[in-house]
Amino acid sequence: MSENTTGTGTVTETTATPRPIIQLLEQDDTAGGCCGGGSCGI
Amino acid sequence: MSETIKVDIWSDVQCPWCYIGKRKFEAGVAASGAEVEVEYHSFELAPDTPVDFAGSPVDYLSERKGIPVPQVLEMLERVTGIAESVGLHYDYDAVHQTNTVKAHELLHYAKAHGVQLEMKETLLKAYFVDGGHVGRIEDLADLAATVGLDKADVVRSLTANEYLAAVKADVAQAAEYGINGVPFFVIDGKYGISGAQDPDTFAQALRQVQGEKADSATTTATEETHA
Repeated sequence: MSENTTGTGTVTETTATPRPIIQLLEQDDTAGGCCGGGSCGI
Repeated sequence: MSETIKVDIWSDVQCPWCYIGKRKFEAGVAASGAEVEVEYHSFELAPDTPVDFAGSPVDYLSERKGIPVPQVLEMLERVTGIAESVGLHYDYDAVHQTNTVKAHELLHYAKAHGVQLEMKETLLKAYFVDGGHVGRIEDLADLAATVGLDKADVVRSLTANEYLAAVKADVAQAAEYGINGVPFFVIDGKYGISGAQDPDTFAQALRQVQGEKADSATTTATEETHA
């Protein structure tokens, strides 16, 4: 379990397959998210 | 009548922001008035965690992730406060840190039996609020029974790893989408929203997709009229 220590959520523009996910709206980059370690916290 | 909008959500049972994000998303859906079909997908934040990890989330984060204890405590206090603001009463003193792969398998089992949403809510509540164990097969089967699933068949399925491949497929799909954190919402198969955003963000996204679908339907009808 890992949390972004700054509570930062990111808008992700992917290079996805089979279809790309594209950024829709401006999002709050302080929204919380969990990312399993590394640069994140919880 | 509006068209149903498919929303795919990548999430982990032990992600505190996922439960908060679930509540905010639900509020956004209500505010938008959109009809949505939600499907949860698996994302494993800590696949290396033993099922019977002998320690608390504080121990896990400090010992396994190397985060200083005071920082861990501050993070948990913060997320607990935010959870409270959306009506969720997290009890980190009672949380059983564990491996969630079996919980994800159960969510796929529940999806096959038409109760995935109920199972997801039950697992999140068990983990963060009730001090339940969401790693052991017997405990998961007990939780499954509360949403009407057959306990013995759940034990059979989880023991046989019946949905393990489905879990791994979700994880692989997340990687293909470039998802490296959860919760992550994919709306109408096109638009990505990351994190526990405010309800307004979800509502705006859903309204935009509603508008696009309405425009598309109008265009199609016009083309058919002139064909």
